[in-house]
Amino acid sequence: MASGRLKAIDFTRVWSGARGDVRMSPGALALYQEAIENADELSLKRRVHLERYFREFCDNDDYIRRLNDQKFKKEGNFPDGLGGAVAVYTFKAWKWRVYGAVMNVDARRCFVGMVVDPAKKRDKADRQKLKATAKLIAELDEYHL
Amino acid sequence: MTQPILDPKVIEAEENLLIDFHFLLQELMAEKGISQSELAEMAGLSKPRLTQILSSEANPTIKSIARLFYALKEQVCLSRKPLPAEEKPTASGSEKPNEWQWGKGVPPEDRKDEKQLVRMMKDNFASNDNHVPHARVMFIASEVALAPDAPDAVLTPDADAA
Repeated sequence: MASGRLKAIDFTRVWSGARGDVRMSPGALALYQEAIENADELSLKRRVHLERYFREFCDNDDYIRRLNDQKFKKEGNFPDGLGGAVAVYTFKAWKWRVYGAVMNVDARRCFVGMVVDPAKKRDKADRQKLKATAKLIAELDEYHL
Repeated sequence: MTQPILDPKVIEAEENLLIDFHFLLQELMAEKGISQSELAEMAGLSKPRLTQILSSEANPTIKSIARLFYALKEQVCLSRKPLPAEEKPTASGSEKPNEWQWGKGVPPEDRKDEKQLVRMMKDNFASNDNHVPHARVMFIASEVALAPDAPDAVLTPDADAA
């Protein structure tokens, strides 16, 4: 029976490797494209970094051995609004962040990006966005499997 | 005054070498069970300075790199190899080398938004195997092998980032 919830499996896969995937919600995807697709130097640098990080995440089970906290970080557990908690992770490059969670999507390890912080002046994750991310993750069908 | 180099392939090479350095250092720290705070102390750097060196905005000096590996009882060796041949433009000219293309490795069923995303990713961008313009230099730590799939990149002798 259809749950009526959003499904991460319907989100666009922006990177895929032997061991996992990176997907983004439509809103996060639009901001991701905006951040990397221009021909300016900053966009180019962001793209190089993010794609290398995504590749590392997708190709290796022990990705944490090579991705330091400045690249991929567990920001903590945040209330899902349903009485539980979601571990929220961030990919970060050149002060651009995408917040999401690592979950099982289509029987594969997947980072599901839900919220983007496009150009932070302060070098710290945004607590409100972290909390919002947890609640958005809880709206995904896969969260309840 | 020298004009800044804005060739995208040079920028890619610079960033990829920085990432290679970060990955190699992080792998070594994980192997030895050393935290960033511990490494900063061992290398005689402040924790904020090390955090900066490990960020995407970093431009660490060669000497900083040597110091960090020395603190971990390793030394960095440089090696190099010629670049692969440049891609030739197609006869139609429709596929420019720097044109964005949908990311490699994404299954066809996920390409439903290709029209929107066609400018999103550049073909083969994640690997340095095909996009550095002149020559490439590799980091090789004496006792730490690069992962087999680790790409190589150009080494640029720049000063520390501000």
